[in-house]
Amino acid sequence: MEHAKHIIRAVLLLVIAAVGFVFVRHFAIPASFGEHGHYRFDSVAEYKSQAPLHGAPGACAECHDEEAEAHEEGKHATISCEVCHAPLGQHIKNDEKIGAMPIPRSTEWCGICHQRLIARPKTFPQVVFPDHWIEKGAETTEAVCLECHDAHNPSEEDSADTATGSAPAAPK
Amino acid sequence: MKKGVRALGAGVGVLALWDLSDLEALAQDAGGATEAATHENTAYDWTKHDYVYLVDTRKCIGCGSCVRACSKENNVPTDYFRTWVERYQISRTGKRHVDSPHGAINGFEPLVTGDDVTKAFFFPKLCCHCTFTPCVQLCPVGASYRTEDGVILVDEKRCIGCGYCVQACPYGSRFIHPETHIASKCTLCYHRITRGLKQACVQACPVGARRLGDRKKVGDLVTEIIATQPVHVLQPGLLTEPNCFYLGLSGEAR
Repeated sequence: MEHAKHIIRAVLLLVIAAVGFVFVRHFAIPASFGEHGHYRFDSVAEYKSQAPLHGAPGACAECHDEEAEAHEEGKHATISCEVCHAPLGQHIKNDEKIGAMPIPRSTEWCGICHQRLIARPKTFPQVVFPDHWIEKGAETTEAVCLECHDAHNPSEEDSADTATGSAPAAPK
Repeated sequence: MKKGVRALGAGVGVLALWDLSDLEALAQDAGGATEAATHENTAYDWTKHDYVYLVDTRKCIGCGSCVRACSKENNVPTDYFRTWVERYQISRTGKRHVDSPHGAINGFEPLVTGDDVTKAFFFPKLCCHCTFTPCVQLCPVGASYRTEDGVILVDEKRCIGCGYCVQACPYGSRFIHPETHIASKCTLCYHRITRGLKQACVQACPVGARRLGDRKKVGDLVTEIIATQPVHVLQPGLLTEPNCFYLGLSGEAR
């Protein structure tokens, strides 16, 4: 047993290293890491807890039933209210009104969808600004599109007019 | 000649029929989603879902509603994008002109390229939520991960902002957030889909060009379309197996 001293020293060092490793590991690896894979599982719950800003379909109709009814009947029925106005979360919080909704009326706004672009599907109704409203004799105001078209429910007549009067040209 | 015209007519007829049935099914699908929505996600079971995304490039009008909705819903910093729309204008000789002004957050203006444009389309992009994703594989701290239901997320507390994942993503879907200095990307609106709500971009699309499907849902329309229609994934040669599929996408799109 003349080497006992050396063996004890080596074992002691090993034990210290092992304890140190476990200690550091305990603090270096966050809780829930590795529960479902090489990541921190609590992160999933953090993502799930984010509050939705856009409302559920039909949420707007709870108060604005008249507008919603007109909107449902028309060609704009596929467009969510929040596309033209704003996310519900900017307007209502805990069933209380917290802010006014924007009502875009400008030609530029309508043009975001209806300005003629060669990349748009040919069957989609689109016109050239300002040619279209000059041609129709509309007064040049900020809300010139809304002089003839109801944004919530653009009528069949309007649509037919648009389709024949200004059918999108095929790319040259 | 006459035969050709008749065949063309039949083709258009079939296309119209398909589009119609598609729309009807879509309406039913939307109804189902509304019913299922409880707006609470505490009881959400991720083993019962396997999400898949479908973009119909033939329907996209390039209005940018999806980009605006995503930016607001997820508080995305100005001039950074979790989803964006590109415009391709291709001439007869194959010359391509691609643009995406501010990610199309304000839509597109008419653009004269000076070429004889024979083909033009919009190309919406987002994270492909790949099955074998390079961004998760190389994250040095285990911050990027894939959930059981197929969503690629970034642990915001774990990420050190090294940017390896931003470089590794072949689709350019990630960026380093200018304020928090950590990686940020499309979460497939995980806070919404786990509540039974539609994603912000899907809900905002006025023409139904963007849809979210669930492979584990019986009779899922998107899964059916992917299973039966000619669909395309981006850069299939990289073997990342994206879960974002494109309908009617021209091969020039990258």
